[in-house]
Amino acid sequence: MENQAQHLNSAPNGSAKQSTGKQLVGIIFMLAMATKMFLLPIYLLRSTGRDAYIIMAINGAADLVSLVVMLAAIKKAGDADFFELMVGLLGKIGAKIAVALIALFLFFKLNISVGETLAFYGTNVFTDFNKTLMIIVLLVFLAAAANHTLRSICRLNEFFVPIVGLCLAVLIAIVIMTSFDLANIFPALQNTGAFKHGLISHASWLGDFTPLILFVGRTKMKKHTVWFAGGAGVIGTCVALFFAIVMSAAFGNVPTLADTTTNISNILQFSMGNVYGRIDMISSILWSIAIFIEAALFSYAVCRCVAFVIGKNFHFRISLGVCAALYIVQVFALVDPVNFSAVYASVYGSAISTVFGIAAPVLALIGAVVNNKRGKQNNDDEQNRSVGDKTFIKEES
Amino acid sequence: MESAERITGGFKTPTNIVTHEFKCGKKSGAILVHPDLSDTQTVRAVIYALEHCAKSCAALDEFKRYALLEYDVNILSDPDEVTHNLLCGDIILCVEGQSDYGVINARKYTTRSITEPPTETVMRGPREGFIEDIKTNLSLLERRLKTPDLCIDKIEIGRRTKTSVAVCYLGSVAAKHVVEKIKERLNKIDIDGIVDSHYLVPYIEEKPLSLFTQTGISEKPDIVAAKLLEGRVAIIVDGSPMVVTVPFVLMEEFQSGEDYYQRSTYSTFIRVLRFFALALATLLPALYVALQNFHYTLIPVRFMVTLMTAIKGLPLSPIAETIFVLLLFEIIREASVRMPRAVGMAMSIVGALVLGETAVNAGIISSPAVMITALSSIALFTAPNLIGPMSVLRLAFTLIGGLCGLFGLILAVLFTVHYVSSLNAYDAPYLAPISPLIYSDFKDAIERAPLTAMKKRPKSIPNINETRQG
Repeated sequence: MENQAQHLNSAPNGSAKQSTGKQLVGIIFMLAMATKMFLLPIYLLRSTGRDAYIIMAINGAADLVSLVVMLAAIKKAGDADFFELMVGLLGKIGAKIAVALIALFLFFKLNISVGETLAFYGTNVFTDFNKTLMIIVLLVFLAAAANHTLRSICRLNEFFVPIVGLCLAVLIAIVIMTSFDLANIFPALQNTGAFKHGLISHASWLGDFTPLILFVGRTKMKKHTVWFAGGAGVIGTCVALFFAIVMSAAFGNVPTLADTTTNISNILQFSMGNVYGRIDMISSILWSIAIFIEAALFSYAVCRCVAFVIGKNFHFRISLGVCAALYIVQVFALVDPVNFSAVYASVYGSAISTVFGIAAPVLALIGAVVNNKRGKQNNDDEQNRSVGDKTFIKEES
Repeated sequence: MESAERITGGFKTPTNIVTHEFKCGKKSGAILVHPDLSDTQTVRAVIYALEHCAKSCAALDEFKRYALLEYDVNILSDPDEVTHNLLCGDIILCVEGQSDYGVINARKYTTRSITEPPTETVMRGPREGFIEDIKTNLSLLERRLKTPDLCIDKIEIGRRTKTSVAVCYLGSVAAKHVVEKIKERLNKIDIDGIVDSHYLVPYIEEKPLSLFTQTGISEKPDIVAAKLLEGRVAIIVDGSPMVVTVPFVLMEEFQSGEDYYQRSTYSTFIRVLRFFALALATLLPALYVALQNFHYTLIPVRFMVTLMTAIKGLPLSPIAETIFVLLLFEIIREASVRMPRAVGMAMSIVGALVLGETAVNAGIISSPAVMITALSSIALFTAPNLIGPMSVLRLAFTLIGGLCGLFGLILAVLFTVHYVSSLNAYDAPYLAPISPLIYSDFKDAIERAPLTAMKKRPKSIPNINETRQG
């Protein structure tokens, strides 16, 4: 009898299945809520006011639709991975162009998560944060993650999901105990102009599920994996939405007070967390593991895409290159990493994210369907050929 | 005699070999003995038997059939093989005019008796431990596993030492590809000699440069037998009381043989405590330094006041102070392991009183730093096999925590877990059953369920027969 660990988790590098269904569920939970809980609610609040949570809900729902498409692609792909599907769909050169564009988008998302992490630690956790040096520690981790396998990242995530879940539970409990007035989120949609502007310019946080292209053809799917994965996405989105609602309730009437330091941790500074020896802050810091893991996945995805585009598996050199580029963008290209997200929160940023947020899963799904059809056709052809051969042999005899 | 000289001629100091010549009929004969390795009584009896029948026997075959009927005799022709047997303690019988040799088993070595191993003492359960003799070790194992399914494949490793190595496993339980891979790796070893089982470890590990050990080590036959029953493979080396077991998962470091001889609830509690203690041991100094250097707002106010009073006027920064105390502890520990027992008490006094107490009184280090290092070090001993890697990690984490605060510390922990989760020796995920999550294996991981509940073998370890009990 074959061993579970053996056939699910111990395939050598580059072999077909590197992730289990449970690991996929864990990854989706992290991706669904990670960056959506950091600076996005603040930007939304400042541009839209108390209706921020509605935009968050719309964005979350849109991302969930892309998740459903991606899960359908993973389900249908069988053993073919995303890159094989792209080659089958667009040809070799077309696939390389498409993957190169996706790699750029993933690099863009990687910058978002890294920038927000640095902003969180720089403004909320440290009084004096030397970004130029501190980012190196982060880059070492990202390079290591990109240099290993998808299986390692999945296991890392699986290991920390309970800790992140526990921190979220603590944060939610503290928020619930806080005396904010939920009625502050009403009346809704009074300023439709601001709402529209917020909706158009903050679609930038779409496409959080794009790294799931790596799971196409490399995940051991069970009967109910798709449902659990979808459920994890919904739960993650709901958690992010919950904190956005609390933020709207706390700052809905005074959105100008919400600055970039008023994110998951600082909102709690006004809450009961302060009474309990900053348990809120400790929980927030531990929760940031979710962002680190998300960044690691983005980094790995960028490296895999670049490796496909250049056609060589120089993972170590590619990861070094990606980290060097990330360092340049974060340290030299921008004065303040917080600005990166601020620049990103624009109509142009939203347009890019929307296009890629939709394109990547749709391409994966179409590729999977086409691949399946081709597979079926080939099978039919083979069957017809064998039937024809048998008839020929009979006629001959 | 020519055939005897052929053997003794190969020795740089032939005087180590005792040669006894005798007459057999018209021919002459000789026996060669290595007196340090052979049983004197057997040698004496063999000489008596040979002398007694010498007149009626003139060939090796005749000696074997008539004179040495009660002894284990082999006829060999290869001089190298004969020399090897002589060095193992056998008596070599040579007869003039014959190129073959008679090899009479007379091996006897002085071995220590079976005692409780000092590294795995228990309050309950068997107290037998392996010794340096492979035969005794195999018999200890075979006494516990009375089944024809127990496979023992013997090989010799070492061009000069020719050390006997036994690969033991249960044929209908252990995964065949794991056994084959281990044997293949052992057979590929080309070294002049191995003197202990630890010599084999780098050859059978997938990542020999790793900080974390990927093989289990045990001195107790009950533990090794239990591991074989779970589908693992044991490697016994002649001359070593340490038996190596593979595949290995990190969770094994948190399990003790005694866990299975106590009430399951208590064992579960102890295991949880071990996990907590190890986290404390590795992270406490780093957290202390990080909080003091960067995140003092996270320290509760009352504790902060006490801390401020204690560190007031210290010449060293928190990171330098903590690393100094940690290194001091490592030096004292290393010295106490190496030094003779007679001076152990003096060492403790010097370490604890002179260095610790006086340094605090002199205002060089603070009492919280000493207390945190002491707590961390005591906690480290709850998982004795992890002392090495965790001591290194503790120092690294403290350094990173002191330089980069919680930001660096979290990343360092993530980096370590990521690395550890990538270890996958012999198809056994190193962090199983936590990551990858294997629910059924939790019965013998953090929890220690009653044996009645463990109906299946652990899925983390490759095996071909998962049912343990009906």
